[in-house]
Amino acid sequence: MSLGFGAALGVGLYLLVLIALGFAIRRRGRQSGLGDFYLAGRDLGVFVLLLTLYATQYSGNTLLGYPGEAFRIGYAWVMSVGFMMAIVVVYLTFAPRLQIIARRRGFVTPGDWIAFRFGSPRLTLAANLLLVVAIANYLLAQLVAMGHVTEGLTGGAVPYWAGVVLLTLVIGIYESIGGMRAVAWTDCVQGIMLLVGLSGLLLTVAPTPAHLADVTAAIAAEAPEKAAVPPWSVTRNWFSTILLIGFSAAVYPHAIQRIYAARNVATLKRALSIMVFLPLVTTGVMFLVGVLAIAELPAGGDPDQVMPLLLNAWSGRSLLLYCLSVIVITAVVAAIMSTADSVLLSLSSILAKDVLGETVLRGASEAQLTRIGKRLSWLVVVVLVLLALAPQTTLWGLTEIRMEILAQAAPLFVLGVTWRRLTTPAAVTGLAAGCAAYAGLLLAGRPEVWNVHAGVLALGVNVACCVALTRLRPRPAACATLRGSDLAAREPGT
Amino acid sequence: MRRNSGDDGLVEPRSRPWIWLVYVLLFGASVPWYLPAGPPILWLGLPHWVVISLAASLGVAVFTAWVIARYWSAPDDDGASGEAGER
Repeated sequence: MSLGFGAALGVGLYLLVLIALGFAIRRRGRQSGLGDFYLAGRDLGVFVLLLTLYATQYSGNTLLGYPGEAFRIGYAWVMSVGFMMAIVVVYLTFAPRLQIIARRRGFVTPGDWIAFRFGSPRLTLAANLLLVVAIANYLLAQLVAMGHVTEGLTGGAVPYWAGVVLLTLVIGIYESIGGMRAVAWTDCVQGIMLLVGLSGLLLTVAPTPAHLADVTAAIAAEAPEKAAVPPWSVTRNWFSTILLIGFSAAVYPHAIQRIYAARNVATLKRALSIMVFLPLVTTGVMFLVGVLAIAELPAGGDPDQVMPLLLNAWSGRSLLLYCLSVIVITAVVAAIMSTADSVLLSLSSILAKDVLGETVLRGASEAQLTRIGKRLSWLVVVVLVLLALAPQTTLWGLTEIRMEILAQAAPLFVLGVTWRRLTTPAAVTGLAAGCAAYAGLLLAGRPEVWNVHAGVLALGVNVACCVALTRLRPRPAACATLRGSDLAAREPGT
Repeated sequence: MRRNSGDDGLVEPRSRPWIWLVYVLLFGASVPWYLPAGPPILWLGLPHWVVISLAASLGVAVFTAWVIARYWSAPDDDGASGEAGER
């Protein structure tokens, strides 16, 4: 992905803007309480909320991995548009009520909801461990991607390890001085970079129907399976992916915290109303780029190298295409950093408030926990950077593990909010059974069964346990877990 | 008339089964499981099943935006009327 001096200058300027933004935000607002530091004072407006949700949801994998997947499997990768929309659809099941309860109760972390709803420290701890494992994995994947992108961007002049350390340092600086406000505003810059980069890419590839027809005919001739109506094995996996991404990405801790951080209901509604269209111009563009690459690049190449090879090829054609390629590369860095900073902030909030705050630091003030959280961010960064310097698995491997683990926490939010009868023992059993089923399938060497992800099957086991164990108990006169009218939405017809 | 708001005046999409039925149909249409196997027919230069999938996905987006505007409202919702505002 080496585009020489221009690309290095673009990324360097971008990093300086991020640090300056962090310092500017620190001068503007206080950051003493947990709500201030981790949720930006619960005052994110539509513009900032939309762009921080957008930049956080689409990671470096979207820009680097998705064109590679389209190149590998062909037109069936159009599934990426639908599965990203499924995330917003899943939000509709629990976000309206969760946001209101979170504001009333002053929630800061996802664990606050679980503790409030189920009243079980054991379940809260188990769920927090699950979330920490999943998002630490996610953060590690972003750090590994940072190293690869920097190394590729500079043609090896900046080695992998220096890329990991440099970009992580920049994130650590603006995050520890500005908290969620700094992360959200830098996410805005990163979100705009993403949209500009993708628009540039769309202009670059801008295929006409005639050009597309030529490309499709060429693909159908050389690799007919990539253009033909997908067989049942693919469509089963397609449905499974919609379920997996929809339920797991909707309960990302940093996404849940953005629901808490919205200024009001109207803000969240407007942000989600726009967000649901963004897959068409994000994963849709990446899908198109990957398909065009099938006709442009030699078959059998490394899918992960599709985007770098295309950018290199396009940048040599004209000055305009060179500039657009530099913007796209900066957007790739932006996508990785915007995801990493949000995950790091979320991770430190869970560790400081839900883990230390409920054990060794029980009774500590919010200011103390915030200070500890900032230090924990740096500690987490050091540990994960050390792991990233010797990565043991591939990026896609890290991604798959994360999504399937996260899916097991989805019933705690979706069923927990929507089904007032769900009991704590049923939720505990469901979570344990889901995790055990997933681990068992992986240990048995079955990451997919009949083209359905092991994580989706485990989610089915999880939900079945929740439903069966709750229904086995007699319906209580008044639900023990209800607090006031928080969960008192009436069911239709009642 | 059915009541779909809680004691706290919140109106939310989850309490309307037909909304979720529409989602099942739209997502079901976005996956080409129902089309016969065979070489693609070109629509706008793309295989016909890709165009159908993209159209169904666009349907999901439009329907979601409409559902949010029409069936999600709360007392502190200062920006939309929704069903609660009409009653």
